[in-house]
Amino acid sequence: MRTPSPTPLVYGVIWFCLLILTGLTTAVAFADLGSFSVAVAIAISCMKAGLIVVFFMHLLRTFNIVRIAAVSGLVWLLILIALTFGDYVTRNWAAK
Amino acid sequence: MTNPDAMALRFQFENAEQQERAATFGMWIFLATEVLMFGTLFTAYGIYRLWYGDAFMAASNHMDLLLGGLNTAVLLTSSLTMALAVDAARKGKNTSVVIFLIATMLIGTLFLGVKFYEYWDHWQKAEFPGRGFRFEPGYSGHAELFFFFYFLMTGLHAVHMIIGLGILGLLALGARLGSFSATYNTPVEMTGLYWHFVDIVWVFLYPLFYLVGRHLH
Repeated sequence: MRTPSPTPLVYGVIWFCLLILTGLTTAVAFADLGSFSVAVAIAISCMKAGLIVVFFMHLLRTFNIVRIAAVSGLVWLLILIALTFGDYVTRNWAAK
Repeated sequence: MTNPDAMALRFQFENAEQQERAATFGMWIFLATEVLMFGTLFTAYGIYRLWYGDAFMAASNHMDLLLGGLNTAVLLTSSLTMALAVDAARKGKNTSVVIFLIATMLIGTLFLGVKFYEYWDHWQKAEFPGRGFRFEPGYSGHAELFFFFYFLMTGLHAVHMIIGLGILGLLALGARLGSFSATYNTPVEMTGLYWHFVDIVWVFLYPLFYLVGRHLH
């Protein structure tokens, strides 16, 4: 079952959006946002990754089982990050 | 080369759709393992950046922002040409497939060329981790930790690119020999998934190594 894929024009538009987001993340890096800098940078990168996954990798148009594999990878990554950071960040929290 | 449609369906599959679903499923499972492999490195980087933010900012400002930004644009363009190659394969346009695959390879090689120039440049400036490492005083070796992660993670990424270039070459050869058609082009699509994944990894590497301390200037 082959669903229609994006046209070359759509690919071009997405590519242009990716370049814009690259410029955006670079420009924002020069602003002093304190601890928000990391969050903004990651957020923009996630947007770019999202565009690539949806439009270039056709994840929304593919078989259901495939989406499960993709999402599971993301879920396990989030578990890895959450538990690892949770460990280190909460050290030395015990009352003295 | 033989008729691609005739030899496309392997004996263990009932029909072409099931075969394509299995291939795509398998490739995404592989990509999930890759996400976790790079994920551990990103997490370790994250912890050290949390602890030694100042050193990481200072070290990041020693990266060439222009080259890093341009390289990001270069790699994104290679993803475009790869997507166009897959699109051409779906339409059975083998000549276009070859052209777009070769374009992807050339652009990917350009990316690697810039990367290796950057590596050489860092080496010249004694910014390669190890005995000869030199940096501004006051960062207690934590700047060296930044460069350790830089070379490790972008190096691992570069290895993935080199392997990808090899696969692209074989794919271009296959397309030239008429191995693919509008009904059978799964190898092209799967290679596309791999290449886009490698691009996504760089999308995260770029801000985390090149943009950490720019607000300090």
